[in-house]
Amino acid sequence: MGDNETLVKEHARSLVAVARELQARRTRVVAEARAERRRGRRLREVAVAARDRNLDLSWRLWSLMALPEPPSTIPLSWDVPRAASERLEAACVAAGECAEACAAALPGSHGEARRTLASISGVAGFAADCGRAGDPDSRRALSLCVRVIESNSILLDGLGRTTGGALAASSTRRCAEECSRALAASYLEVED
Amino acid sequence: MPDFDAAVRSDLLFRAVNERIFEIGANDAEALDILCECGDESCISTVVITVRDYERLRLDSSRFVVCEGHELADIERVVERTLEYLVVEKAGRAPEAVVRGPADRAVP
Repeated sequence: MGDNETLVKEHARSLVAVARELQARRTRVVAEARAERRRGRRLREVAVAARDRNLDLSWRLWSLMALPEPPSTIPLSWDVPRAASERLEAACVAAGECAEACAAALPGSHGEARRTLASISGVAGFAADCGRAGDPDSRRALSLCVRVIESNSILLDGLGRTTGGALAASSTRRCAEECSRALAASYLEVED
Repeated sequence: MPDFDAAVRSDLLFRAVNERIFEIGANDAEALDILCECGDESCISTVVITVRDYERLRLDSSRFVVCEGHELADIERVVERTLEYLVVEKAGRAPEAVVRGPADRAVP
């Protein structure tokens, strides 16, 4: 009986030792897994930032006409949710700049290009003033501005390849983009 | 066909924009690309018009420039027809609706 008791105690001690060792191993594995997860998160953030930077550079290259096609997506950092009023403000600034850039390009242009620049300058200037004044027609003016710019995209592409027209052409693109975003934000706000 | 109020709103919006285009583009230019001043809000047709003709047209606030086929027979009558555009005059209760004109808008 004494020998059996000793054997059982030894067996129990060895089991406790194994359990302690397993517990220690588990703690190490858990710590390693946590470290791996943290590393994964960091790598993912680095990858997202790299992709965003790549996209941002691609958009810049496209605006400088070094790329034939614009990227199919926009960087996440560009798409920070903003209130409709902020979007409208940004659209008004972009439309105002577009109106000025197109008006500034008038003296060096002729014929259809000149007439189109004057039209876009007028539409964009009107949309900017409507938005700033809180005119009830703001949305309609912004929408008209986007549609007029888009309907002249081929002419603007050609104008963008000229020395005097590049600034005007790029400002029209930015204007259309900002006005579209302001409109989308205003629709969502109405929905809310 | 757009309803009466919507048509008048569109006319006035397009006219206000065209006034801007005139202010910007009339200097040292013979012609302008103005927006069709029809009652369809989604219209983005443009009309080539001489600066002189535009100035003459604006003397009468009830007259609008529209593309061929964009006139609304119920509230407008064609008073002038060119190769490029039609000049329409508001008829019925329409003249009263457009009398405030672009100068009376919140945004000139």
